[in-house]
Order: sequence, then C-alpha cells, then structure tokens
Amino acid sequence: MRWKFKNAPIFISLVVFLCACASSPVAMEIVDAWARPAESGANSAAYFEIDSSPEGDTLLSASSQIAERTEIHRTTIDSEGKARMEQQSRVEIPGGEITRFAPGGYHVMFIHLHAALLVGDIFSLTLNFERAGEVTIDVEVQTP
Amino acid sequence: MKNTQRNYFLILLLLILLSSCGAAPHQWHGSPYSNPKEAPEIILFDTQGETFRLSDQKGKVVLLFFGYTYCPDVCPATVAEMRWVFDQLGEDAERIIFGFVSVDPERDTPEVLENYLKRHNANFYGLWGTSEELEGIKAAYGVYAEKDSEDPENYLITHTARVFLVDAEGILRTNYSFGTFPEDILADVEYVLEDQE
Repeated sequence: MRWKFKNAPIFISLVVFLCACASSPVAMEIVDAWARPAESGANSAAYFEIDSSPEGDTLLSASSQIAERTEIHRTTIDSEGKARMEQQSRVEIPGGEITRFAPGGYHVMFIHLHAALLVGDIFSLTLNFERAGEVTIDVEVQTP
Repeated sequence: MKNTQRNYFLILLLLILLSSCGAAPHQWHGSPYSNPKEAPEIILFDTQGETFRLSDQKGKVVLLFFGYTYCPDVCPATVAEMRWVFDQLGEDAERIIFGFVSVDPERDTPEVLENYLKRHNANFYGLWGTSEELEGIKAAYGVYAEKDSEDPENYLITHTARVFLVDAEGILRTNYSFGTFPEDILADVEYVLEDQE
C-alpha cells in the first residue's frame, strides 16, 4: 500500500503523458475537391474547401502532374463587372474557419493540360502549406 | 344616406380588388436597361464557318456572353449556368440561343470553340471574328477585354463577365453580372418566352 501511494505521482504523470501522445492534434481537412473537364492543351481549375486546424496555416503553392504549370489564382469581379485573375503567392488559411476555393474566387489553375480531363477522372493535387507541409489530395473531374 | 355610404364602400372595395387582379409589371433581374433599344448588331462567324447575324435571330431569345476558352474559372462557370438554364426550359430551350463571343480570336479558333462548347450543349453558338471585327461589337455592348501580358501564348484576359439578354424582338433588355443566380436569369427568360406567346 505504501509503495502504491509513493508511486502515484509517477503513475499519474505517465498516464497523462501517454494520453497526450495518443491524442493527435486537430489536423486540417481538405474536402469536396473537384475540377472542371477540359481539352488537352487547354486550362482547367480545381476547387475545394479547407477546414483548417485551430492555429491556421498558409497555402504557399500547388503542384500536379497533369499540366505544364499549376498555380494558385484568385478571380475578382470589380464594380463594372470585369473579371480579373491574379496569381497568388500565398493564401492565408485562418484558424478554425472553412476557406472555400470556389468559382469566381480562389482556385488552383492548371495551365496547358498534358491530356484532356474527362468527367470521372481522378488525379492527385499536392498543396504545400507553411505549417502542414505537403498535403496530397484526390481531385475528381466533375461537370459543375 | 346610410345605404349610399354602404354603396360607396362596396364600390371602393370592388375597385381595390380589381386593381390587385391586374398583372404586376415584370421585375427584371440583373441590370435592366431603363430605355431598352434594339440590340447592337453582331455579325460574326459561327464554328461551322457560317455567318451569324444577331438581327437574323429575331423570334428567338438570345443570351450573349463575351469570354475565352483558356479562361478556367468565370467563363466555364457561366457556360455551365447557361446549360442549367437550358436544361430547366425543356422543349422551350429550342426557342433560345446562347452565343459565346470569343474575345481571344488568336487562340480560340473555331475548332477550339466548337470543342469547348459542345461539351456543355451542342446547340450553343461559338462566335468568332477578327480583333478588328470585335472592336465595334465590344464597344457597342460596353464590353472590356484586355490581355494581361505581351507573351503571345501565355496570357490571361481581364474581361467583362456579363450575360446579355436580347428578347425575341431583338430588344436588349438586361444584363447579368457574374454571380447572378441562374434562377433569376431563368425567370427573365421564361418571362420573355411567355410574353412572346
């Protein structure tokens, strides 16, 4: 009995330590990824939602094997209805929020596709984050 | 006297009821023209090499968009919305035309336009003309389109992303900025189709 009480703090510390090791931090989730169908040599775009980790992150770049270039872009529409696309060098992903890559806003742009993207095709897209590092997701080609 | 007052009241009630039965004017969506006029003429080539004249399309409702096929975001999103509108109309879709005017004639050959549009709807018109031919049309519709680079192959185009609605009598009624609900465009199209009957 004396032995048990004496070792109780060590035992509790061990349990707490093990519990801390077992529970992984809340990771970001990237869901609903899809891309537009397009002809070989043309351009396409991918869209998805990032459910960020509580501490947030920054998207730095994107890469894929399906096109000559894979870039992060943002479309903005001005008050006259003009659509302008600009490449983004970084996209802040606020903690605890859902950041949407959607038509008319942020998107990953594929420039000069190596082959046609057909409805139902699935390809890999790697997103490079400042904190999370490289995250590779499957993107399905869909008719919007 | 009492009867007279009652009769006045009944007549007033009847007038209110009759006025409420009258059809309310259609509330156009987008940016309707306050003084609608004949749509500026468009003479371009379709993807089959045939001349397309907007004035020849009277009798049909025409939706027009100025875009380019290398545009990966706003243009395909708009074309997809037009496809949705056509799908909702069923057989009435034969009474409307969607014309996609390319503002990128160097890269959007008729063949490229054909392949791009047929994926959405075989009846969509890809409309092509030289830069010089397009200048007057863009000016008439207030459409802006400028390349963002001097690179002859790798460039994007900042452009007006509006859909223009021309009714079956050739009158330019309204235009819709990107982000307009396709349901609102459908409501206007249905109205002009009904108005035509």
